[in-house]
Amino acid sequence: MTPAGALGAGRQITPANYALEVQHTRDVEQQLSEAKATIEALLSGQIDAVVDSKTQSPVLLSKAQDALRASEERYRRIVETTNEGIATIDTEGKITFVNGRLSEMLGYPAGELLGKRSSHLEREAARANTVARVERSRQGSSEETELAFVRKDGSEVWTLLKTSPIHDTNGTFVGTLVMITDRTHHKQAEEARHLAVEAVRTSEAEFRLLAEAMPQIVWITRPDGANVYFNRRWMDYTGLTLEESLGDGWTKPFHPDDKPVAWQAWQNATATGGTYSIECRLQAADATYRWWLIRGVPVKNASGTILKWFGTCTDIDALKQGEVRLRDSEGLLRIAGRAARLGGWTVSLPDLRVTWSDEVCAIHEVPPGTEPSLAQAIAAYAPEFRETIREKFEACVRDGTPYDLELQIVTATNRRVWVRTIGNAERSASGAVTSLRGAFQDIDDRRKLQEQFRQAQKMEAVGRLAAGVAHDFNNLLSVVLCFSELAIDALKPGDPLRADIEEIRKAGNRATALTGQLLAFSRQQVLEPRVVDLNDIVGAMKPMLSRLLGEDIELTVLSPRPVGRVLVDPSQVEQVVMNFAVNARDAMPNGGMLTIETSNVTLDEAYVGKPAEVPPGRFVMLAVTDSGVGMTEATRARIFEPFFTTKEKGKGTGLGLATVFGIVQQSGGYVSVYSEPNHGTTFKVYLPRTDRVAEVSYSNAPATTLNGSETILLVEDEEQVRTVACAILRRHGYKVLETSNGGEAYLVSSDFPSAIDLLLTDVVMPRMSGRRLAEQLAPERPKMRVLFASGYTDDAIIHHGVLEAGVAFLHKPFTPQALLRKVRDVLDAAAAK
Amino acid sequence: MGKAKTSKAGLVLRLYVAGSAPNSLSAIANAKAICAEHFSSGHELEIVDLLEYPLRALADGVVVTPTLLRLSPLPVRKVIGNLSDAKQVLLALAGK
Repeated sequence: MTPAGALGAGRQITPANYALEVQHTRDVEQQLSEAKATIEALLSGQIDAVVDSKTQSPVLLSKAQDALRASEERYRRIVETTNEGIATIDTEGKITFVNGRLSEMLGYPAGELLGKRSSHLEREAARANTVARVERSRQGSSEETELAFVRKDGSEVWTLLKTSPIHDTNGTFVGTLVMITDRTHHKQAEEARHLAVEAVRTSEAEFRLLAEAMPQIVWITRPDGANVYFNRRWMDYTGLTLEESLGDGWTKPFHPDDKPVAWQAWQNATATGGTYSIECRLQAADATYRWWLIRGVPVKNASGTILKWFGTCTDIDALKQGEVRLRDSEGLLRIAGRAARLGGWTVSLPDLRVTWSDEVCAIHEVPPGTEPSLAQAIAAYAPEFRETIREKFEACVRDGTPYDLELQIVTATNRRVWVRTIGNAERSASGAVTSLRGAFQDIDDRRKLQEQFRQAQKMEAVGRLAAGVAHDFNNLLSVVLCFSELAIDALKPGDPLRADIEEIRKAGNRATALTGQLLAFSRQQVLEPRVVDLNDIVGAMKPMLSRLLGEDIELTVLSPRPVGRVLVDPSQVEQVVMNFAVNARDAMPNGGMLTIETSNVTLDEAYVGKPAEVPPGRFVMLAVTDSGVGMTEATRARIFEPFFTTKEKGKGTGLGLATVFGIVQQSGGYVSVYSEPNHGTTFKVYLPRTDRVAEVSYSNAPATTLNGSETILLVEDEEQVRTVACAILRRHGYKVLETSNGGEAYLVSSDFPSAIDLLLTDVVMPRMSGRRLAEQLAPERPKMRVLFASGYTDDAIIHHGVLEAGVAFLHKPFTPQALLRKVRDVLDAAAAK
Repeated sequence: MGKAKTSKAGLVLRLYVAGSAPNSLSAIANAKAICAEHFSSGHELEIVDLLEYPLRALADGVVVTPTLLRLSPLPVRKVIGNLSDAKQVLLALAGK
């Protein structure tokens, strides 16, 4: 029995056993006291061994304690070496244990933490949570939370907290185990990450803001070409929605012609990782196209892989249109320049670099792009102009004096060409001359035309002078010729005066011939064209020509029959042949050969050897070839000028070939000349062929008599001419009504009761012309014939020097013979009708 | 005054220990020192090793060592522990 057995329950306390009961109570108290002492000893570690009541064998506590201590040591090491903070908190929330890591984490020595309320390690605001957490722990929940502890030095330490309740073997809650992980670094990393994310978000927001604000289209594309972003501007311009544009939708607005180029450029850019840049047309919402500059740059990662492409589209339509317009206008300018043979040049200062436009190169006959030195450019001018251009150029460089000159250059093929060169100084803002710019034009054709025009003007002036002189001169000569003839007729043969007067008459004839030539070269002569055969004229002239040429010159006439007919004034053609012959004779002072040849020629554009001055057509050609000294090019160019002569002074008038030219031209023909020094000269006259039948002129058969009895109304303002004409006509039996002007003639005609057979009138008269008078009298006297007298052409009766058909004409100056014959012809022709 | 008690009734003590375990050795030393000082004559101190006589311990109602029993005078008193607190030990031994 154990003493404890005496404590058996259910014992009745009665007075009889009271003493026993008291004893027993004392025993129980004793036992409790022992038990308490045992427990206290146990707890204070004063117990070495216990007896296991079941096995009744002792158990040494020291061994158990050793094992326990070793186990505890292991745990302690784990607890102390772990990187986690570990603590236990009792049911009151007081700290009962902390490991080294935690005290280090919190910055307190371990001793100071024990017994502290854990909540006091937190910020005031967070304490309530901790209290609540302890309470939840009591109720058995394990938690994980993040919270900040305050270190002893006041700084914060962010931790991850894991709490779990501790129960004893009976399941009673005895405290809370706390595991604490330092999250400060983690937290900092987190914050850095957060900041980075924020920064990215901000920069993306800024990018979008910027992209939206840009006047350009902004896009982002993946490396495979799929689009992932467009700013508003793209949608506004293309009219596409963002959804339609993403992926490969961006290709839709490309102009069909530009798509292949754009695709090629994209391929190149992606292959090389370089910049993508292309100009192309994009279709706008309204279906029109505009030009855009599209540029993209790759965004690469550290290893160089392209992540995406950032790009813009810039509207360059105005620029492009300007470019097109510029190109167009440059093209126009080039065409205009080519047409006008006009180019431009520049000389930069101070390096004196010369640039010539293509047209300037063309004028110089050098390849386009030639860049001559300044010395070469100046040397391109004809020697006599080099000093001029150098001076002007230097003045322009020195003080900006502009110049505008017409000079001759010598081209690469050694041709002399007239050019107009204009130079202007370009100045910098400070006024210094920085370069010269100018125009350069081939004006050779213009100069030639000018020369021809000047020549024509000279001829015109001479002609007018001649015509003016001739009018009065012819009247005077008419008087001289008529009176000298009348005087000779009046003198007996052998009279000594007769020879003197004969001289006067000869002088008069020479003067008449000279006047005629003057009028001929100035094309003011009156022609009386008839349909003739050139061979007839040339054949008739042969004896006379032989005498003219002399024995040293052999004359050959080649006149194949038939030759075409021409409409010319035969006497004028005789004049032409005569003039050629005289020139040929003078060109062959030591004798030679002269060949006159006639032939039909038909010239068309393709005819090889067709002279430039002759147009296509059917002609009869008269060629006169000599074997004389020939001519230089310079002489040849001037031979048709009046008063130009290579003969010694006094030998030639300088009118011969000018007369030829005038006659041929007036006859509707052309003259060409071919000559080389020492190889003779060939003149060719081309006269238009006519199909009309040759006529036999009645003038070839002289009238049998020069007398008549008809009534003639004579109108002549020049008194002497009137007097002599009147005298001649009356002496030969005519009745003459003598008047000095148109008005007077009209009155005389009105008063004259009988028939008037002939009106003989001067053409050029003050107030009323001869033509006008004839027209006025015609209704009253329809049967009256009209004979005009004049020294030169006048549009009153003659058009361009050629008589109207059926108009009778008396050349001034006239001889009595000529006057009488013409009057008789006109009257007889009238009678014949 | 302790002298008077011991002389009046003979003091018999029995100390149960567990071999040479630390607390047991300190308990033996402490018990001998207290007896020598306070009960120099007229006391008996028997030391019993639990490891050798576990049944004796059970018979005396001892379940842990070191335990000091006052067998006489009665009632039996027990003092548990290494007897380092001499005052507490004397108080327990003096109890009736």
